[in-house]
Amino acid sequence: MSEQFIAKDALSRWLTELSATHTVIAPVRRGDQVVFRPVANVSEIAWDAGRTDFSAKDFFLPASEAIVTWRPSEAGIAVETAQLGRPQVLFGARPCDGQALAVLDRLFLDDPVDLYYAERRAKTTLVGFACADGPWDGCFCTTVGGGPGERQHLDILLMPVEGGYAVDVVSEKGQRLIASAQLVALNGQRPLPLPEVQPLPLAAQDAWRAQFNDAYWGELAERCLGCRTCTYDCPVCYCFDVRDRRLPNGAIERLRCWDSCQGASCFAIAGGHNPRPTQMQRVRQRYMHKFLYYPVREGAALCVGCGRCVAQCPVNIDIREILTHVAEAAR
Amino acid sequence: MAETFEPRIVGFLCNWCSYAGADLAGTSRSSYPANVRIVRVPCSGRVDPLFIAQALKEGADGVIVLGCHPGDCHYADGNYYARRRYAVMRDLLIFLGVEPERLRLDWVSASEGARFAKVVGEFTEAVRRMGPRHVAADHSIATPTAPAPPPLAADYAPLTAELRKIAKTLLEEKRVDIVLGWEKGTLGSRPLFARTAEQAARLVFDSTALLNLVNFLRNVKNQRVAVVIRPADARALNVLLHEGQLDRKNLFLIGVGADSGRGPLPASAYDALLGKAPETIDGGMPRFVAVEEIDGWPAEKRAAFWNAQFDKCLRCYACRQACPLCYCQECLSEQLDPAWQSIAIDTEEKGFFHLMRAFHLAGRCTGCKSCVDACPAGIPLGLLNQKVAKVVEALFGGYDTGLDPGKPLPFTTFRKDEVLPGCGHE
Repeated sequence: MSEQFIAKDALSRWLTELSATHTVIAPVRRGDQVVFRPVANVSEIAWDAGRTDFSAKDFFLPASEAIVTWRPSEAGIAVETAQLGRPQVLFGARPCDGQALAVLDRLFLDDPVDLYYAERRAKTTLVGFACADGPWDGCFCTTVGGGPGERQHLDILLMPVEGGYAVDVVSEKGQRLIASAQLVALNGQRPLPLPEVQPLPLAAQDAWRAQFNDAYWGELAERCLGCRTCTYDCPVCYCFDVRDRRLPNGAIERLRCWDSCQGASCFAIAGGHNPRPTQMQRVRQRYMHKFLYYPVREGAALCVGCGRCVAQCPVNIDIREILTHVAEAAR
Repeated sequence: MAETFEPRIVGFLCNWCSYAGADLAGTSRSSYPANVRIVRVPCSGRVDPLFIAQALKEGADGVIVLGCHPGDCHYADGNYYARRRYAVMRDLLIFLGVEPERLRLDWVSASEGARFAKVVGEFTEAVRRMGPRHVAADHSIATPTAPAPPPLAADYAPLTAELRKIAKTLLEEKRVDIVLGWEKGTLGSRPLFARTAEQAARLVFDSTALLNLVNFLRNVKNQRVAVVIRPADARALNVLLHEGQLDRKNLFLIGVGADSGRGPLPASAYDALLGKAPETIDGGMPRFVAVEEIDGWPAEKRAAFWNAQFDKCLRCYACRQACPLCYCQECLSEQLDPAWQSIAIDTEEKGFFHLMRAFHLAGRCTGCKSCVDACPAGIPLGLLNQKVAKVVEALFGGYDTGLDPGKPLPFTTFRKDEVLPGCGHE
């Protein structure tokens, strides 16, 4: 439990100082949405905006990145690989955003290590808020091992108290970063209460296996648009595609871009074959992957209960209903 | 001395006239700037206007299309079609912030070597004066808005009751296999495919029933479906029927709400109505207020605004997937051979996608707003479609999309004597 306190203006000053050496990424308002973006000035930060509409995945697995570029040069061909320049601070992350990275670490930091992800991960410090202002539409973090005040996957957890935040320094990385901040002792202020997030039933892996041929997937697919909103706003959906493109200046880029199991083209392979030709198969794939295939391989659900897919789906395909359905079918 | 900017220009030249004209310019030793990279095409009618957008996306500073003089086309009519398509693409590109100086359509015959040199020389100079094309996104520019149309109904409860009754009867009497409507979801209402009387009791109609259900009919082809549709949806359905995509005799149309579009379909177009007959509720309301506001901005502001909008885009394709008229088996955006687009999720590729979609909906979009309501990023996509509708209406006149299915689409016809802006009439 934290014994330290930082006032809101001291926190702003600290972030301003940090931005001399770090890229500070924080929730900002863009139109009627809240997204993580690098901020030039702390005044851009949307302090009271709650959960961002889209996850921070972009800063670890960018939506679109030239991982290698071949450029004609006088000496022949120059080869450049994508590198993150300055270290990053992800400010305003929520416990589920931290957990999402822990879930992706299992895949990307396992052998063979994904060098691009690993570099971004190593160079980023997570400074998050406890969700005293939650929950939001669709939240169910407690179902998948998280919680509105869960500290373990962040480097620093800030808990709102009267006039500022109680500072819980979780990791050594957090300790190094916070060293320059003006902290004082907590003076008896109690952190604001955290919301109750009721856990949903989570079926065992065997129950998921048993539901493979459930007609329910077809019912969902009937209204599913086959867009990619759920996978692109998801903090842990990690599918990507790699292709080369030629630039007008003669260079060639190897692009790594997000891909989505919900798109018909995702599984298409040479010869025109598509092993998942129907939307039913693609809808089923998304949830089987999250609650069966990934847990079997990596030991954790590929879902942190952030609820963004619930809030954003244009046809209200609600992952909470799916969890409940599979759990009830198993009974 | 500052280096002179040498623009890169792509030229699409018709084989029979303009390419021969270029050849003549060369053999006559006429001098003209070497900035134009020539692509020889069989006819200016072969120039899909997306070639122009594609060239700009790939870094061209200007694009010129040259064909046979009107009346002289080797294939009789190719250049008339080219002229129409180019005129719409030109206005759409200008709307997106491309300066008109970077675009040109003109006519050069095989005997006009000197004219070729003159046209290319003038155009190159004009593009050179514009400089390189780059405008940064500006997220601070507010989206212009038009007055919101009134809600479809003052009280939705009676509509829901009426809908349930109609649906129950249709299903019990086995007149349809499915009633496609809405049910209450966990956040607002969501599409429901009711197949039994029990399921029909779950149907609702409320203010959160936003998407165009006609879009879902392709999932249940060859079944008899009753579908709840608003007037704009019904007009989109008419377009689909006209394009041979659905069979009217399999459908039972339950009309609801007043039309916020151009004009209503007659009540006889529906098989049943919820509430009163459809009517036009905004006959006096100007249709293109927001579009006209953007038209009035300087090009740089338009570019900065749209770059910010396309920057927000996730390339999730929700707009396309929610659109009843986007039914291609394979979208150009995902086609591999030839690949029109890279997989990059960047502003250029996203902008090209939206431009392509708007262009492919020319004369077809009925303003149902399904794309806008499905977009998770809040992009005002309707403005692109409205711009195209405005241009089509202004240039070709009299397209009541979806009301008059017998009428040819704007790009499948032409008038020989039409005078279109920027189309070589000078």
